[in-house]
Amino acid sequence: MRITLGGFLAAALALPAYGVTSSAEFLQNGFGAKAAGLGNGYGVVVSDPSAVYWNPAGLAQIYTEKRITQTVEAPKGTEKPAGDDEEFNKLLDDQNSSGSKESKMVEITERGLQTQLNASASYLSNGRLMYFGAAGMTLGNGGIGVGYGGSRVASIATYDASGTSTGSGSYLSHVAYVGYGWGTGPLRLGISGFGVREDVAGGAVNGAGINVGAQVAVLPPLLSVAADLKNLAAIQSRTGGSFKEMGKLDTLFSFSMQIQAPPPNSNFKLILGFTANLDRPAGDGVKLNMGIAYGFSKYMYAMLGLNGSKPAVGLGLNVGKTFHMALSANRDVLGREFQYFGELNFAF
Amino acid sequence: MKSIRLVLLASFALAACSNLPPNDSAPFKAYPNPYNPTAGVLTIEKLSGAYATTDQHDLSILDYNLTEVYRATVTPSAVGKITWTGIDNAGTKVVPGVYYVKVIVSKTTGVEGADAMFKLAVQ
Repeated sequence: MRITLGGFLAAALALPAYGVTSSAEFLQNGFGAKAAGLGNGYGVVVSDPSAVYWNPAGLAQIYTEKRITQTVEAPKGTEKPAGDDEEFNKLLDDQNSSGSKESKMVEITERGLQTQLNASASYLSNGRLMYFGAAGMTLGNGGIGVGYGGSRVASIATYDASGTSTGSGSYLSHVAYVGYGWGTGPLRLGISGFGVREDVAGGAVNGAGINVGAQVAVLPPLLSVAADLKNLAAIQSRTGGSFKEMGKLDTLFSFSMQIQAPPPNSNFKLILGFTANLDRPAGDGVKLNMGIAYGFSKYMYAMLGLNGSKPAVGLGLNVGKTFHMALSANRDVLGREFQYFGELNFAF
Repeated sequence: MKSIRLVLLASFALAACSNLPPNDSAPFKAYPNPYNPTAGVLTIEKLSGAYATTDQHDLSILDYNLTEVYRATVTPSAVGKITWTGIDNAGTKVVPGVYYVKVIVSKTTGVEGADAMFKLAVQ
């Protein structure tokens, strides 16, 4: 049976919007203004420490480019291949044993150490506050990252079983990540692990999971693709009230692709993708992720995104390579609720 | 610069359209809150105003991400009281977390602005 992508998406989107529920719901919303502004199709774009959440393969992009000039001996007539120093060095190794040699000056690009800090906060309607902070640095042929985030919902009016007011309570949730991304050539792979805890007025949910992802530069810089699987094999246990049980966190699969205008007009970026909740196909189904980023200059860019039924607009600011900021407003499923995101990223 | 102005205008327009439903100031209360679905039913009671005993309500339960996990048309079990057994649309007990309870009085009552949305902690 032949199933087209369009038919699959149409069938998935037509499914009714209900199903079994799962814990740690805040983990599905996503962190950061740039991601929201691009409709959460962020797995292919992310290159900062928030990759521990979005796609750990992005951690491999935390590095500076260090250009060094080196004198080498090469066979006469050897030309340096355009843009690939590794290939050039291999050519030298292969051919150094034969033929007359001459000295050549070549410029080689190496990975340099970089540290990045990323912080974001968002206010979602109905009193939901979300925040995330992460740090990452170059390590070997990749990057390592750690992150901490959470959510807080305050002022929950509480009542006892007879309906008498007992004041108010809060909901607090916490999640901590550690991950590593490794890259070679056009391929980047990453894995991160996380622990999560939700405190619900007298009860608690504890869970853990992993997040694996890949980024592939298919036709750099024109086309890149990424895939990411979150919460695989995660389990939860909840306590509180009169029962305990074991369950499972949601498993989210996302695919995204980035199409970028070729130089010299490379200030336009198109993101397309989808996110599927593998544990609740009848509930959340498949969400389409779409985003457009347009750079007005090297300092400022605008974003338009669509995450399922949630449109978003965003504005980003770049100051050199050391400071990035993004703001976005996101309209959610009720059609009259809003989410506001802010994000800062520093590179040293 | 014209494009920047357009983006800013769109942002402000989105924000200006925000029309949040009544949030915790609604004339309803849900108890017990925190609520344990295995320990009994949740009672949602109207605190003020006048509805006939037989007025129907649409009860909608939304999760943290405002995805609707339960919706039903319910008839009050007593004057101004409706109940929920803690299940989602698939008949499964909902898991712990923050939920939003939305009560929509049937349009047959002719009551305007009676929507209510308030937070519920499920253990």
